[in-house]
Amino acid sequence: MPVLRISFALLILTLALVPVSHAEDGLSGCVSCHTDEARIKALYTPTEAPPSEGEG
Amino acid sequence: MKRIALLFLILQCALCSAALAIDLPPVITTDWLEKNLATSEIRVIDIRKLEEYKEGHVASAVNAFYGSWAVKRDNLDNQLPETEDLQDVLLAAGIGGQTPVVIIGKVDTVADQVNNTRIAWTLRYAGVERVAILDGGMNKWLAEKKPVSIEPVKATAAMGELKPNPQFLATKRDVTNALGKATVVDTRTPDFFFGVAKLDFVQRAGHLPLAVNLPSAWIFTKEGTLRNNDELKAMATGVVGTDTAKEIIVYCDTGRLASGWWFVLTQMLGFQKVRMYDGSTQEWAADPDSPMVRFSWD
Amino acid sequence: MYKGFLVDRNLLSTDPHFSQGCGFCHMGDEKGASKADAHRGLVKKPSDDLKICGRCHDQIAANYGKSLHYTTAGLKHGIRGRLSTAEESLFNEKVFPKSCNNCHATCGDCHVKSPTIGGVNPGLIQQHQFVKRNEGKTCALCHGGRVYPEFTGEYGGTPDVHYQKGMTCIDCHTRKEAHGDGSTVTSRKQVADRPACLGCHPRGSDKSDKSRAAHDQHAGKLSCVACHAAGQYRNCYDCHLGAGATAKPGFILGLDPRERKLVTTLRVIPTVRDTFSKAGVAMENYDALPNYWDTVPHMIKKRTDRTRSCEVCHTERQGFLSKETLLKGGSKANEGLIRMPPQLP
Repeated sequence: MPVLRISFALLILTLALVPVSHAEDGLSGCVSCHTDEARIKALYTPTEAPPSEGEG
Repeated sequence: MKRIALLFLILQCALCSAALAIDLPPVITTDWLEKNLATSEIRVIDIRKLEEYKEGHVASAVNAFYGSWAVKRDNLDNQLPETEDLQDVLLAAGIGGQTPVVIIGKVDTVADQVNNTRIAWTLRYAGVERVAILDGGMNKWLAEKKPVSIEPVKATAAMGELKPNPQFLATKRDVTNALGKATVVDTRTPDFFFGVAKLDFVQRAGHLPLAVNLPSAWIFTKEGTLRNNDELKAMATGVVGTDTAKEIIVYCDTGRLASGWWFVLTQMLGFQKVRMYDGSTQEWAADPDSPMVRFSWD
Repeated sequence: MYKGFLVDRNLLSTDPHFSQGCGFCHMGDEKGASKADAHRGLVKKPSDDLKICGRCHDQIAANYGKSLHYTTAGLKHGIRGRLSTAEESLFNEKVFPKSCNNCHATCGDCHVKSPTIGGVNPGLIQQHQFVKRNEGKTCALCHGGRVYPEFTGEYGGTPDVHYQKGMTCIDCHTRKEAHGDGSTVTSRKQVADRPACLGCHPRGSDKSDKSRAAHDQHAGKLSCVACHAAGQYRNCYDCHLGAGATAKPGFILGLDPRERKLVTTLRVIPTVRDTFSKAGVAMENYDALPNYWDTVPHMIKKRTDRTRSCEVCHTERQGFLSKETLLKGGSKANEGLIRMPPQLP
């Protein structure tokens, strides 16, 4: 049971420190987010472009 | 004396080249290809789109994308090019009749998977004797992080004249004459065979009279590799029987899917008289006088 | 590869484009804690303003500002002949900025992020690398209705021989053509040094007597593509503001409407009489221009039905525009494009 509590506390601590760790890297908000593959993939799924009906 | 020495030299060279001739199985693994890549005798062709090839390809592969080998003719998709055009493609890729050829494609979809076997059929039709496909294609090669190159490879053009093998090709007339005699195999999925599904460009639903159904989509695993040999053999013989000398004609909608079972039957299981109907249902169904069966498994 | 907005972290230290930080081009708030804060004031397409790239690439940016890719002046110029002076002002005010010029290409559309087509944003070309060329992810999208899929064989089913030889757009349509040379042009026909078949395949370079005889016989009468375009290309019909056009394959031969000397391949222009009626532009001079325009279908082949047989043109007259095949209700100028080949004796 204490092991579970410690794990939970560690998880909360890790989550709390995530933004801080980026700041410590000296990276801007743009860089920390746009170079984080998991985060960007979760935020945006590109769709395939359809054939254009336009000039060309 | 000089003549005898020369004869010995020629004999020695012939023996050496015979000994060096590479044993090319019809389906090769990524490990086999990596190990044999340096063998200059093999011609590796990458049949993916030029743009995909340029983003990374197996080091010695030349690009000869699918559309070069299967074109639209007489309003039919995926047809053999005119013989002289096919010869141009073949020779430009550095392929002669004796060249062992390895085909690399992608395997994302069933259409991608059978593109590999369709090119194998085209090469065999064109008179190339030794042809192999890379199991799992470029997808597996990349997934295994094997080395890739972004430098385009230009082949030294081969010389020679194309001598097609008509025994691999069935025309509409061949199929008409073979109905009731040969085993006709519909390689589309059962809904197309039964006639509840149809592609827009195919004019009538259903299958050819007396055809049996053996879908090419079932040749591959969900990872895009071929099922193991025993399983494929059991699937094939369960439908077409065990007589490897019997006459078989495979077809689909445009002559692409059908190449899957043509490849397995002829190149892997030793069936000797299998032809592919290139025009397939797209051509057959367009002729109102050609009989078709719908809503029946017979 | 994922094509969204993931940026390659290594570029930040290796590519000088990133030396001044993201905000230098994109604005926004680099210190913003949330996405909404960081994106406040964000400039999504910084190179819409050519001065951004022009800070370092001044000459290219100056030239590009006058190029057809940036001005889309070709679209404006093409319709001009159908409009009265008053209609032209109305067109330039109400139609051109919204319907034509809004799809002009910025520097970034070709070098950083694939262009947005039909509202679909395909994302960065290669994780924000500044790429020199990647035609499949740039040219192919804006020119994805006709030229590119015809070139690769995905439309028409017969790939262009140049694509088969490993060539892509920039191998013929050079950087100079794409960027412009600083001169103001209103049509691609005015672009200096644009590619021409004879530039690489000069007269007299034939490899056989048969080929030489065919070229000598038809020189000055036919364009190269009249014989060497392989199959059916895309023609668009019946375009209306906001509703678009409908497309279908076809192969049409007739007189080049610009000079009326050569027979060449023609493509249907989808402008119908009421295309711009919603904007109050009636096209008073609609009949001054035809509904067919000369085109170079990018499906070139050494051998085609027409190079293989004289009968295809001289007996069967396949594809030749005739009174029977002219568009119904089309421009009166269409009839002037009919030119039938002589019958074989």
